[in-house]
Amino acid sequence: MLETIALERLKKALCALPGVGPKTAQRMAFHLVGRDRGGARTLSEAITGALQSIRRCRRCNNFSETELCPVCSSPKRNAAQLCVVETQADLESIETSKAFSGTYFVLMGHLSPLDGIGPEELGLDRLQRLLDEENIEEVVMATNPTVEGDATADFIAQLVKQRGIRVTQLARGVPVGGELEYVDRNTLAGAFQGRKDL
Amino acid sequence: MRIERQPAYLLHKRQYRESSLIIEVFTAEYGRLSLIAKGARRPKSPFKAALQLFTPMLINYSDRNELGTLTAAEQAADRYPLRADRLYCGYYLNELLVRLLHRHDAHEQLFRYYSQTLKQLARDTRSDKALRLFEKAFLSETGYGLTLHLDSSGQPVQADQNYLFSPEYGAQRLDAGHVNSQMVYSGKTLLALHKGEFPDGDTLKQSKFLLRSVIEQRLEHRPLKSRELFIKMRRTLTRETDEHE
Repeated sequence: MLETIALERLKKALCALPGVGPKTAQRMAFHLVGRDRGGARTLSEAITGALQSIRRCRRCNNFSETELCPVCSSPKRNAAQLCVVETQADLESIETSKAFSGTYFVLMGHLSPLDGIGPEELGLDRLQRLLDEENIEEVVMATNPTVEGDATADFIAQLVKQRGIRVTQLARGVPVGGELEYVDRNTLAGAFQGRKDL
Repeated sequence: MRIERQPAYLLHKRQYRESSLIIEVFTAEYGRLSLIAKGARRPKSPFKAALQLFTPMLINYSDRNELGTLTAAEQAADRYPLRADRLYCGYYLNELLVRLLHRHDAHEQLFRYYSQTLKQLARDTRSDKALRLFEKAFLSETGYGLTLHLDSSGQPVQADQNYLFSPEYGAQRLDAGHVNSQMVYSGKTLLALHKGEFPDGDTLKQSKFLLRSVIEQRLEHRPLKSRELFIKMRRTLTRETDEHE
């Protein structure tokens, strides 16, 4: 083997990325140390910097460089509305849509009995504290429309209702640009149940 | 081997690589299988909508080694709408199947029981009864059938006597006044469970303890995660009610 220990280490480290196996890792490693050393330095500094500065928002669990994330600390956001999502990626999608002006709570997953993921793993004690301490008027459940996501929404809805707070769930319907013919039956049934006056 | 349009239920799924899933399914003719569903987490995956728990599906797959490949999945009928406690009953059934069925062992009868039990859980008010009947059928279909109408000496079980019960020795009659720390079952319970008809709450409750002890033994006393979670969630909710009342 002609490869150096440092290169071996780099390849192993690159395998930590999702979807990267040994072959891709090798390609990336050769590229970084061979062709684009400047890019490699920027990457390494960016990773180090991100690891040092990014943590979880104390209130909502979202990634943040400050104790409270920009959403939670913004005076423009309506803190009386709280949207519960499964992942940071879901939060980002909703933010991109600009459809929601309240604040969030990120669960980092959903209830999954067979994998041992329950209320504690989802940080529901923190959510409960948030509901108790702040003046929340509406909780919007935006978990995924799967059995697991619905189970999570149902459970959280009970916790919210016990406090006399309004709880809503995202509507289900036909995607924009979609064709009814190709929409699955559950979505279609949901769309009919949630139909509204024109 | 290519299998087409096989009735199946999803029991569990876990993420695999970037965009795929490894799924545990229970099929009508081939029992429990592990399949890889390639690209099932991509936005436009054709499997996505059908691959839901408690939903009758028809699946195509090719099965070469230990891990087969899912090639098509479509929803065959409405999902059984299990909510609240019923949902955890459903998870419990799935956990039993995932933990105690060997892969590739056909259980056609058990498949029908599973389907029926989901139907009852979605509909009936009496989930206890449906669960007890499933547990009993599950044990007998997996080779651990219980002898409930005869005691260990081959005598018919008497409704008005008390018995100890263990899967190895069956029902052992207790003499009057015998004190034992173990769970004692009435003959009435054993006969009720034998027939699958529960005349009252007591027989149903005792049957639950009896079946649970047998199933725990089958699980080698490693606890069921779905039950632990259910208990934890109940506790979270009741603690809440106490505080807010």
